[in-house]
Amino acid sequence: MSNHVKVAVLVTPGYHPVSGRPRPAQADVAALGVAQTISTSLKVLTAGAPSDASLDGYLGLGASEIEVLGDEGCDIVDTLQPALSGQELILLGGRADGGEASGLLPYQLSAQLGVPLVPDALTVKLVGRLVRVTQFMPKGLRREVEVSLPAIIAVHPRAPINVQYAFAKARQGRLLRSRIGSTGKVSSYWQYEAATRRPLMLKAKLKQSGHARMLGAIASDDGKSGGQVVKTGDAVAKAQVVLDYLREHRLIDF
Amino acid sequence: MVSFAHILTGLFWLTMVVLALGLAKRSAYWRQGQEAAFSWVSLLTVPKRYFVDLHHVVAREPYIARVHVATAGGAVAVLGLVALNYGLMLYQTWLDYVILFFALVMLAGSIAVWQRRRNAPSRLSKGAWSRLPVSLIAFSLGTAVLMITHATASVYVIAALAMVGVLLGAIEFARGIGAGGPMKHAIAGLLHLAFHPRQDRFDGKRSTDLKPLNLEKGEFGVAKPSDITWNRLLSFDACVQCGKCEANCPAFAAGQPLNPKKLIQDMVVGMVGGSDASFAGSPYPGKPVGQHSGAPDQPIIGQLVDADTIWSCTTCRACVQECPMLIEHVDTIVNIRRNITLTTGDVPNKGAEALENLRTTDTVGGYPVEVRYNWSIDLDVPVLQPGQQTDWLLVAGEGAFDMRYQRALRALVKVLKHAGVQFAVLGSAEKDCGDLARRLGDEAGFQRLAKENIALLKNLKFKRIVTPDPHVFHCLKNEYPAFGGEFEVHHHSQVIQSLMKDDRLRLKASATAMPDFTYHDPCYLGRYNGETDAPRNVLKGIGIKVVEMERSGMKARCCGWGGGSAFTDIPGEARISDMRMQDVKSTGAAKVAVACPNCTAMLEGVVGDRPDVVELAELVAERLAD
Ligand code: SF4
Ligand code: SF4
Repeated sequence: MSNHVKVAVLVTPGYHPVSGRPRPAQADVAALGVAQTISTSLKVLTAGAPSDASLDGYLGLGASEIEVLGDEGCDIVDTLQPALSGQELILLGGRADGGEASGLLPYQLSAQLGVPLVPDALTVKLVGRLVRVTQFMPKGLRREVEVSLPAIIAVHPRAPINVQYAFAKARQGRLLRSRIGSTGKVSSYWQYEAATRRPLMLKAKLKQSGHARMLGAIASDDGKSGGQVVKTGDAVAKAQVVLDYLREHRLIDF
Repeated sequence: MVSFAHILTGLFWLTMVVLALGLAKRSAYWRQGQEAAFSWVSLLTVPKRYFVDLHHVVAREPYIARVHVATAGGAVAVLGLVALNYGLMLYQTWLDYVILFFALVMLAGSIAVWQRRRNAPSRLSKGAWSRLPVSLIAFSLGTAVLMITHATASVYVIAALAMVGVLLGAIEFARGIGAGGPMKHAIAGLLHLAFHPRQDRFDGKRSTDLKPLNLEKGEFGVAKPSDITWNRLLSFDACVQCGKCEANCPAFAAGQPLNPKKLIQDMVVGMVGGSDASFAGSPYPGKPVGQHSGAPDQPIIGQLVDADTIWSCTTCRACVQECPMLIEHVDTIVNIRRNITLTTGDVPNKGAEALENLRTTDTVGGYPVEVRYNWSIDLDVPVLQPGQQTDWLLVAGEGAFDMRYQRALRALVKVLKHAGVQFAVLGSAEKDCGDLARRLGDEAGFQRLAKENIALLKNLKFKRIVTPDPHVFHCLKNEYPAFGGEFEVHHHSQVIQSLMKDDRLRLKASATAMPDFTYHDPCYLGRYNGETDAPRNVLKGIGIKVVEMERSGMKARCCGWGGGSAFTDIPGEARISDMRMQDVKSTGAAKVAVACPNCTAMLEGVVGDRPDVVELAELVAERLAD
């Protein structure tokens, strides 16, 4: 039943924050993972000139075909819009690792296509022609919203997903390239600056071995060190001890 | 009138026919597997392999070895002589007495087998195996009686009874192979010796048989029993369910859902088709027997074996070391993992993350490669540049990112400098060697890293490689040659040993007596490479007395890291590292010496009061003069 709904996923090239190597963007990975819970036949799209290496990851995560639209410097929204017009449900990462797909893209698409947008989605469920979305909110809060098709859903990077990279899938997957010209007006607004970071000196407060510190931190039955071992009482009483500890150390905020 | 002698003749030939039919049936099962190198000439190697290589393993338990020699030797002699005297219808009385002698030898052996079975350790399988001694006794006793009466008994009742006994034994033997009874091990075992998947095992070569997969051709490991090579299917049939693998498996001892013996039997079930309900030994901890089934063309994972069983293995090879039938469990486990990882990527817990890190950063922990040698900034360690030349290339491995292990690395640099060794490091050019990727089944990741590393190393001028990480050592030494990377690789314990031998280390006169130490053997140095002496010699050389643990050297218990176990982290009842620390404690030694970054991390991670964990190089560095 859910397979009747046409689902598209937008993906973007990302890069690893440590090595700078091309890879999928984490929020888009989440979008792909969430989309796979809704439909088995997905239309996966990207625009611009991403490197094959960055798309390989999406193929390995189960995207069997990725359509690559547009060209270097094209306007992403203009390029994507015609390809998305027939789609009923569009999923994408709320924020990519850089470039035009970061932040504004879901809103621009929503405005141009005239389709409602639900940001920060964690889980998405189709109920008939309705989409039920759990949204991420700060401090661990969650909210359920419903929207009717067609809709755009921007997925939060923390969405619980269950996809893993598999070499065989990456090899079987295909990239389909079609060149569509566009104006490239947005990318000309961007300015890039090098980030600066000052090194932080780390100093050990105590000159103790790791094992000694570990012994100090862990609980023992004799009560001499660390915490406290609670062996009596029911589960509620034990949980209360943990809760008190967390409150005392201001680890929870209510 | 047909005498008992003629009946014996008939029985003998009938046995041979049943045996031949059984062998044909069994070999049809094996032929379901994939091709592997094959030559009939290998059959000629069987006597030497049987009497030397196999005997070495069996003789570790001298009593059982003698019992087996009496039983099997007696049986083979009886069969051979019966073939001669009755098969060929010579009916010589003096030959009857020779047969009688061997029948009695076999009887003695069989009684000993029966005795042992009455008080069987839990590792032995029951079921059909409990029936075996009875059949053996019946056969040898029956044969003896017939030989006394020269098979022409005047007391027909006795002779007829004896004949029943012989028949029972003959059935056990002849039907064993075809019906998959316990005696199939005799035939399958001998053939397994000839067609062993790792022929160089008999040239004393240790290590594994992890053949590189041809990924271009779509080789993605083992998904179903028929993906296994035929000679490995044959090897599973050789298993005698002695449970020595089970008794030495750290994962089984920790209550993780793995029992190497059951795994081998499950592979037999998969090859023949059916369920595991008739398995009569210890189950996988926490998994009841009888709920899994398989067939040659059905997937192994999920139906026949659960994935967590396959992920519990630390690839420590203790099972391989102990198996009297020379079965190699680890290769099959990794081959199954390869299929999971390459086709679904379903690697449990932190395993998938580690593989992702390797893909995106070339380090297991996702570190920037530029900082790998930060610990050596103040030590003036040269980074080898193309065009330059050095004697030794020091490869630190992933341990270089670990603050605990950096102390050991600094100590090693101190020792090398003290001895005037010319060495250099790879600096930011060093990538992970790929050991973890390979053990976790990511053959694609491993091959990429191996090829890139080999290209890098071939571009540099150095004579030898030294590393303090046995996993790096093993990988570079034994697994890179398949990709064209032949390097001379040494473990740092071996290098320090030879520096000591050449008197290149000047030691302080020892002021205080050293406490007693014990030494923990890393699997990838000991069992994978046979090096158990060098670290001990180093410790001895600096005046440390090693109190041996019960499980040490080639029998050492794993620390629990290997095979990616520290990442996949399949829950059990205990932790392997805690059990190893218990081994350490029970020696009464005050400290434990280690020679591997991963053992260091695992043993250091044991909480509570415990002996200190000290790396070999640290101990040597401490004792250097000046
Ligand atoms: S390699 Fe070690 S952990 Fe794996 S099955 Fe064998 S004994 Fe058990
Ligand atoms: S695999 Fe080897 S060690 Fe294990 S039960 Fe079988 S014969 Fe014994």
